[in-house]
Amino acid sequence: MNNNSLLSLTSEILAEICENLSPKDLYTLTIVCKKLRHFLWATSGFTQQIWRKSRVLMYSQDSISPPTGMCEQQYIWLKELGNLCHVCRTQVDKSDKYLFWEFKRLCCKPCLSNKTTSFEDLLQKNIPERLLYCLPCVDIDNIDNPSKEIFEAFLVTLPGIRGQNPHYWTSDVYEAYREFNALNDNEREEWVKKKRAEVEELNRIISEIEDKRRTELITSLMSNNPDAVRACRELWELNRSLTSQVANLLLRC
Amino acid sequence: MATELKKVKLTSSEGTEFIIDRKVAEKSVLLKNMLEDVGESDMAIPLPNVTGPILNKVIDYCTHHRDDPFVSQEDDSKKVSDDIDDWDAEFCKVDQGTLFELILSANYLDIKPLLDLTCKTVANMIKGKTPDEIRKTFNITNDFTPEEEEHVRKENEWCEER
Repeated sequence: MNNNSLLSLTSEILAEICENLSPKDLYTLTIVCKKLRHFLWATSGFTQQIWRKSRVLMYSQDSISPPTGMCEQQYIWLKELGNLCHVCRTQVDKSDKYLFWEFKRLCCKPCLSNKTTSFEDLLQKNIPERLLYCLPCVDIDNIDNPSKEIFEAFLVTLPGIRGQNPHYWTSDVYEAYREFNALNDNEREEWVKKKRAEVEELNRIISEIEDKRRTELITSLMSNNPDAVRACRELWELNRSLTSQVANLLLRC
Repeated sequence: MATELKKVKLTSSEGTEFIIDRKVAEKSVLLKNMLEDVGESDMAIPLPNVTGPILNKVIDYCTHHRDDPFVSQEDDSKKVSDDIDDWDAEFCKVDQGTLFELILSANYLDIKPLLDLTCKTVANMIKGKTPDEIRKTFNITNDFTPEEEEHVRKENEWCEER
């Protein structure tokens, strides 16, 4: 009898309705009742498609797909919706740099330093070096240097740059270490390869997102202060041509 | 006789007969295919899944939109739910039971623009609301225990398990 209510609709029709909603509304629906939770929290292709359509509808220029292994629900949360530090759950300002794709986490700066460990310290704790080379890290010295951001706006990102002071998410390293230890030599080879591919994939996303952010930054700088931007750009072009000339000279030596 | 002038007979679930223009009936892909398969026939097409009052509404819709160009199945480009025109908005001012029956009929009869319209209308009833408001609107019972709800909310924030 009860076949004319929201919950009695087929998955296809529910999906049809959901495709008109923003990711934020979808998040709200996931806490309405168990049926909707089950429907919207799945990682099936069908459900992922609903979230993807909603993300593209809401953020139309958002053509970058989530990295392998990350579901749409988490991706949109990290990218657009989340505003709490994943560790201490305090509210963090959007403008603050606190989203670390490397760690797939939103995190405030105090928690970042509590939860990460430097490369050297991990080595001292007998974490094998080859394990660290295939795990994601951030350069902690460089996370809040405002001039760097503007400077970098003119540079091409090089994925995989580890920076001066690489830090790793401690619990992730130990979890990886446990996995690594449980394997025999052959399996370790494969495992390292797989992990490295994951990091490369993450770096791809990071650089895509950063590139977009930079383009937006340049565009806004351009409209506020075109002369300064032009001057910067000329300097950068000059720098680049000098660099390539030096490189050519070195090659000839 | 030109196609537009031809008539088609439909019977609703309770046996009420409706005679409509073939052009109106063809807004439904299901009926269009049936009519093409059957060819010339005076036989009424039975629609056991659609009640008279709902069929009446559906015919209203198809008559109003009889001259609209046919939209292809996968046209996601203009899916903005704010773009409902006045006639359509007025058409959707019905009780929830009717609205859901319209959705089911549009789906069954395969009338994509009507399905889109009714789904958008439901989506608009969800937009910007809190979970509680949504439960109230659609008469949904919160079947989470307080612990489960807390867990679900935590899961939604992707926080560290501590």
